[in-house]
Amino acid sequence: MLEIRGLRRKFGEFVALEGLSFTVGRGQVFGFVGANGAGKTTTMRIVMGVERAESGEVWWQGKPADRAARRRFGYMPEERGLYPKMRVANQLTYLAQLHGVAAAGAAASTAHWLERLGLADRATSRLEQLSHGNQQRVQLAAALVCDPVLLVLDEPFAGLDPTGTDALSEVLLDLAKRGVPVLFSSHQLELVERLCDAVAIIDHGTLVASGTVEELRRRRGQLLWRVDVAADHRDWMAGLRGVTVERETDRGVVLRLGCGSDEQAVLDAARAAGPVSHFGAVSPTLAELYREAVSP
Amino acid sequence: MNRSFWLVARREIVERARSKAFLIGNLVVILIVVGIVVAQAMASGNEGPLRVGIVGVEAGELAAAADPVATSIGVVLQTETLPDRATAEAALRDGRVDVALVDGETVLSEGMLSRADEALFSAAAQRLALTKALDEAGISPGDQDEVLSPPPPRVETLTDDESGSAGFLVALVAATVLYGMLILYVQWVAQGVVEEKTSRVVEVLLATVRPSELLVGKVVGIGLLGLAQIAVTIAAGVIALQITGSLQVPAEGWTAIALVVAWFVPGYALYGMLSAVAGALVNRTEDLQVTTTPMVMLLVVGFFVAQFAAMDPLSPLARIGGFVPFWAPLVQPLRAAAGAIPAWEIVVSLVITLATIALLVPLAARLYAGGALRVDRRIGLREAWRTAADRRW
Repeated sequence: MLEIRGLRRKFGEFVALEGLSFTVGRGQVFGFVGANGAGKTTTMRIVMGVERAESGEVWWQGKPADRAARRRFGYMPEERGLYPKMRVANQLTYLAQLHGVAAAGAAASTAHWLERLGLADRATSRLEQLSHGNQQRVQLAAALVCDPVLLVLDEPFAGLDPTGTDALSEVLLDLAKRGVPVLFSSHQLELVERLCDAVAIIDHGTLVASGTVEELRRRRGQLLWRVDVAADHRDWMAGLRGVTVERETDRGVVLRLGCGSDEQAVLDAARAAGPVSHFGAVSPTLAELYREAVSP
Repeated sequence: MNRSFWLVARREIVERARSKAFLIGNLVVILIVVGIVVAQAMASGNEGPLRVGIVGVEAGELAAAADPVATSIGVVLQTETLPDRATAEAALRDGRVDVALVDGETVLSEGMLSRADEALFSAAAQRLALTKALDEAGISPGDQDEVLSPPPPRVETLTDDESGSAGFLVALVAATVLYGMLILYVQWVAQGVVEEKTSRVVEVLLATVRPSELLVGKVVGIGLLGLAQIAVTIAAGVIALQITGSLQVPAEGWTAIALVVAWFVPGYALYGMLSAVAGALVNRTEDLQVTTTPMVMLLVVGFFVAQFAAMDPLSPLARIGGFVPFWAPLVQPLRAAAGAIPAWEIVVSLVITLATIALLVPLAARLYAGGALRVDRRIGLREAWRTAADRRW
């Protein structure tokens, strides 16, 4: 389990992190969401130890993360980079060994991930000879080859085509199934929603929401209701307390139920206006939740 | 140090040793060394006997008279009797003989006769004439030899200082060559550091390796590879010397080479470390020139101090230069080769040099740590120092 505890970090006058805390559980695929400059990259760099926090701590398995623990973390930094002239397999084996894997294990792990990511035939190519997409795959392999106990991936889906996205998703879910927590950041909120067990939404260096997507929805309350009704007039809901029209649809309206409203009263009013074919709460997407969470 | 450090060093060695640039560089160095040795051998002209064709009885007498003269200047004559002048001319054109003597009056040669050969046969003619005159005067052959082959004159040189000695010359050549190699390897270090920054691989590395491990591993790896290249170069030179058998390197020459190489190690360590810091301060290879200039100046001045010191090993400049940490590795081996210097001076300067290395490692590691992850722009030493405090190392 990875615990982020009250991280603070300033760059000159710019406050990057202001007491950020969240927890990534065992086997969780954890989406890290926020605008550019919200502090995602800084957080991940602090987790990996390439950046220092002014205060706050990173805990791993119940104690502060030290060098030995971090050696087993797999990392894909925001700015990708490997040795352009080094051969792919040599490069991955070298990185695995730097992470403390013995020579034989490093070679085996390299072969495994090259095979798994469809790069087996490029093992002896220099990195620079590979296409951009394949270089991305090697970068992912570089994070995986040390047989990590935790994965920290900064925008791993950026620049991937649909096939690459699917392949990466599959790998991440696979690792999570084996108990490896996967922390990754992304701007593709549909993808995060589909993939993640839990998310953290951060804004200006602070956590604005975290938990499973379901929890976020529940916590917010059912705000939007879709009413499909063949009403004889459009303002049948006028006069209901706390109810506003969010938008009109082909078959009716989506209503926002605010403070002091009563959905049963809304239903009664709708039935009075005409036959109701659908009445139910609208689940907000993560994108909607995100927008609500970060809007001032 | 630990395993990571060796992994880093090994990667440097393996990847560089595999590169075409390194192999070609090695080949060029070997060719240059072998070329110098062979050129030396050719210039010293020590190539087998002088083959002389002989036509007629008088020519035989002349050749016999030439033999002791030739022996006295280290030339071996190999004679061959030919029936007539036409045959002799043909043999000359074929290159079967170098010169031909015809009837004791004519020296035939294909091209210009060298001055040495001309002098040889003039002397032989004189000797022959003298022998005949002495015979007529009734002097016995034994007494004739005494007259004709006096002991050679003793040679004395006016300049008697040690700087003319072979050991010193060898040291000077070795020091110049190693100075060039030092600059080369130190450049590799700086470029290697910048390449890791421009390719951004440095963040992947520093997520698992300490900056000090990365720094020292890189410097040591390139240094070992450099030493291997130096060894190969020396071996090529030795083999070429053996084969041509031309140039004799005196014992003090080998001592001088050993001294220069021994001092190369701490010298490289010092400049390699500085070079890594220079590399960590920039984010593009083009900017390297700016940050390496102070280091290169230090090195160049040290090299000139070493030249002066070699000319006058006991002058104040030489003595002080021997104690300056970044100059000692250049100055001391040349001073030692040029003349006896007090042992305590060598010990003290060695202690100073090693202490400087010990101080420089943590210092350079901190500056390197501060600069390595600054990939956005060129930074100064002060900023690198402060940035390092911002990281957890």
